[in-house]
Amino acid sequence: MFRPKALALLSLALILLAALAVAGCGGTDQEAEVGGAKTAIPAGPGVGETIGVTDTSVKIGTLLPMSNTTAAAWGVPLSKGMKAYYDYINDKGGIYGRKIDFIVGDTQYTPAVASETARKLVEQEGIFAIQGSLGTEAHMAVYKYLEEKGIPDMYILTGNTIWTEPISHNRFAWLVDYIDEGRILGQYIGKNFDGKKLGILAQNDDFGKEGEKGLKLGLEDAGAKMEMTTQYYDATQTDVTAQIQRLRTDNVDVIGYYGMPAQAASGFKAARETLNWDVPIVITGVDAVEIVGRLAGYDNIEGAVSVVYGHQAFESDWPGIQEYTEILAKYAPDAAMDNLTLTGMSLSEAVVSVLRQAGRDLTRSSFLDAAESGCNVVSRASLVPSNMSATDHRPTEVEQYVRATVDRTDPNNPKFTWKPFGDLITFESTKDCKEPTPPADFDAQPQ
Amino acid sequence: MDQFIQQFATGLSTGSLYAIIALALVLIYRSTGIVNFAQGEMAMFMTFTAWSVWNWDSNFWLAFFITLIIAAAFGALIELVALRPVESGPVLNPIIVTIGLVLILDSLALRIWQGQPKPFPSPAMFKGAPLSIGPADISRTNVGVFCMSLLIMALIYLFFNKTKVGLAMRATAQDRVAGSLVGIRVGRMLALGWVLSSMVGAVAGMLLAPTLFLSPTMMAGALLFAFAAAVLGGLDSPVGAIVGGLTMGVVQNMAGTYIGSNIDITVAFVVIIAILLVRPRGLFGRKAIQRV
Repeated sequence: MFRPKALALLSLALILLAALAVAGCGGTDQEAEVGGAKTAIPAGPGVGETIGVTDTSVKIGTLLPMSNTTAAAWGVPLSKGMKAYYDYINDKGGIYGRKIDFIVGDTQYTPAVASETARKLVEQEGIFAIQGSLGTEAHMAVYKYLEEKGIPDMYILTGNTIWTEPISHNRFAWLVDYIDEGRILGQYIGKNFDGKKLGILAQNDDFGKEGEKGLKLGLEDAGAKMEMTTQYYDATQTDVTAQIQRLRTDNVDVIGYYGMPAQAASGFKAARETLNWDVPIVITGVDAVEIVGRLAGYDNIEGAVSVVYGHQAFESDWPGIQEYTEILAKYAPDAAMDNLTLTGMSLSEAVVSVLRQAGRDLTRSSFLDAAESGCNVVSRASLVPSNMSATDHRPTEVEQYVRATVDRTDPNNPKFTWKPFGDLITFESTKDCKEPTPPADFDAQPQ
Repeated sequence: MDQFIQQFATGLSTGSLYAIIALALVLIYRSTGIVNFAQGEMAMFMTFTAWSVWNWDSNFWLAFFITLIIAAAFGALIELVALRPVESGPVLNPIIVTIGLVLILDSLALRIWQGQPKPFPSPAMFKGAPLSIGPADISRTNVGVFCMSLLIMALIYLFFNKTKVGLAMRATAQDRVAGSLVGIRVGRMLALGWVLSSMVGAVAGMLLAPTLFLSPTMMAGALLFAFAAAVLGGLDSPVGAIVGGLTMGVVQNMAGTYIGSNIDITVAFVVIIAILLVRPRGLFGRKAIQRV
């Protein structure tokens, strides 16, 4: 048994520990900078130009949460999609005779592990490039390190603005950033709910606050005059009933929501089931995935509006999706065709298209130049062609509004999809690009 | 005023989630003297078990009771395999073991059931329109969780204060040597503590999963608050656990409403630290008397 004093001390220690853990979840940026900035290895552009490249292979790594975290539910299917596409390319002989040697690094979604894994991939495995790193805080811990070593850091899978502001020659984002995305959702709200009251519900971190900023910019774009109120929730909490309740007490007419999938689902349940409130909800594209519908309940989520940036896995009449489905069935038969495996495949496809353009003499410089020279690049899931430049490191500059739709043709087996509506919204920042000269044998390489 | 009442009610429902987990923590502390950091993970693991049973036979209450039986065995197993070898060592050892259990159960659950959150069924009686109490709406699930915590608390009270086994358990927790000298089988009593707490944890997990969704980390957020609630109430008091949990929920909600939703958690913890400075044993903690 504890003595009374020990008990009191233990009590205080527990409380402090709990408080620290809560605070820690929102504040790992500092650690991240330490992890990224302090490195004594000689580095810089031009160093190790051909590390990871031989005449018959090129080594490419990814940094994904694969274990010890629920984010593995995202990391595992993504990695399967990425690998399936490379296996397909390798089966066709590779690019200029080089097969892709693909290595998955596990970050466990934490900055410390990500930092260690990135060093292992770079210093022991000797990778040529990194692709598709997932998780803002995990990638914060490594992006400066990759930049200093001059390693191509391709197509980061989070939407923060930090990756491309300022632009670094070696680093490319993948998703539309949260400010641009929020802006497009804000324009929708401004057009459809002008003069009414908007309630913003946002996660209390960079993700939520960038989205909030975007929503407000979008209202300005639309010239809408709307009253506004904002509620935040902490990322450690799943239940957002109290926040939804406050928005209802504030009599908002529409909700703009920047939350992660579990909290998003909780919000829909709270509004529709707990409060019996049919307020329109406009929600970040992060949640335009099938699982949010399953968690929230189809009846609760039906009618919600969001955005996507590419064709989706359910669009089985789109030729690109059909091809992806075949590739996945052949090279990763245990993986389900969904928007995650699809993202993995289209991300690898984008890297392959840069490898083709870089030509036979592959160096990090030629690779990065090829990535910046992209002009009218189309992949199987693209909505529009994509252009890149030295000042534009964001391949995805298009959004499509989608609405949560339930098809009840078979009442026992309702089908849920995020169904596209309205025109495509493009905001391509590289307007006049010139298609680069294809290197020798370009057309002979598989894609 | 209506806003105040509504937020107070919502605070009580949020708090009832914390209270029921805090209750399981208190139970194990009271009967074994150990603070069980793995309480949340044990509950999560049992909730996944319930989900598997429910998938096999989609009757909620059948799954519920089968899971309770499994949970009892699970609690006993953990005590026998993981805790018994370190029980006689320094007081920190069992605590470290429970922290190890957190990692083990997390990885196991991820391996068996994968990480994507899953929807979890609620029993039919918790579905339907929210109940209106005056100007406040409160969901049936939360009312159910609240009533369940009260029921469990009453059962615990009866068990510890009106039965011989309960008395023996309290004696064991207070002084193992004296307990064994008067003929109490100390090992069995400790195992029983884990059995009970595992069962309460399982109930908590199954009631919370429709709200928090089923995933290996489902309890992480709520467990912090449950710890705080248990400490606030006084680690060895079931009544304290419930009062502590409800207080946490209400303070958090009031702070979120009247100060700002971005600092509700900060304010809640500041309030708790302030209370503990004045009452280090917690609101309902008994003053331990020790001969020196």
